[in-house]
Amino acid sequence: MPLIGGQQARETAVDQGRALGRFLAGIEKRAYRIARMSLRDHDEALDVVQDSMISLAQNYAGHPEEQWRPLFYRILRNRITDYQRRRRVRQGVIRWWPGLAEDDATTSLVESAPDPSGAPDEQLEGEELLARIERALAGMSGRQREAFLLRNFEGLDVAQTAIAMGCSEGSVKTHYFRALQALQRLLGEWQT
Amino acid sequence: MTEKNQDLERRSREAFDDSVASLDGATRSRLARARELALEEARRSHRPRLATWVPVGAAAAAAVMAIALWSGRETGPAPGEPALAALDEFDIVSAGDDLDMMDEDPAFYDWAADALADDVG
Repeated sequence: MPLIGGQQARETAVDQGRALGRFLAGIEKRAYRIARMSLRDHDEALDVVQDSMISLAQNYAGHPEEQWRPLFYRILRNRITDYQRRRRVRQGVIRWWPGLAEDDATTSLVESAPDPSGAPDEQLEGEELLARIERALAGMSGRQREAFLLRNFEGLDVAQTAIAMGCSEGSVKTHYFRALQALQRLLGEWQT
Repeated sequence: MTEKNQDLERRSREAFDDSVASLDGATRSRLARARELALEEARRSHRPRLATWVPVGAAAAAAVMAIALWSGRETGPAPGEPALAALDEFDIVSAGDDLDMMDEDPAFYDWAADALADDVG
């Protein structure tokens, strides 16, 4: 009898591993793009996605599948915040050491350069719109940016977004509405 | 939600979906490797959790055995002859002495048994 129980546990673990693999495969590219838009850095975006996948696999693989998505985006959001905080500290140190300022200026130019990734046949309109949205999002508050990315791009509903952002559903609605208003204002010229 | 907002949502979502679909091969490959690493970590973190139950199970088994032995001593046969006799018989059997010798000279063993009976009698 214990042998059957052990076998069942092993089969459950294998099924769970397969389900987790499918989930991660389905989410990784979108998560990368969202991280990339938040951090505006290719390597950092890949790092936070990898960290988030590992954290989900280690800590939440046993949770019901329907919880994985908001949990994953909550982890991703926390990782992005950590990276942004570290970057601010790094930039603060660079300001204190004038000799490093030149490197910082070079890095900023590289970081602000257009993303070379993307297929050549991509419609210019879509590329242009997304580039403008990225710039507009960079100027928003972190909460507004998160609400827009998770609700509109990732398609999380209000409840899932609230879990991912660690706030109330009412806050999600407010941040999202303000993000839309800001985007309308910033993109208004281009849209007309 | 105004029509203008809905249009912005739709168009921006389409642009985002296109950018996801057109991710370059190197990035896709890096993401796939990251996924494999995450799954491997999940398998690895699953193993120690099972391993931690082994010593717990062993300790539980030892405790059960100790309780069984203790309660067995309390409720077993009363101290004295029967228990010791049983142990003696067990010793004889487990000692593996060669009992075939009795087949070699049965007449001698019959005489020895009679002589012992006479002495006792």
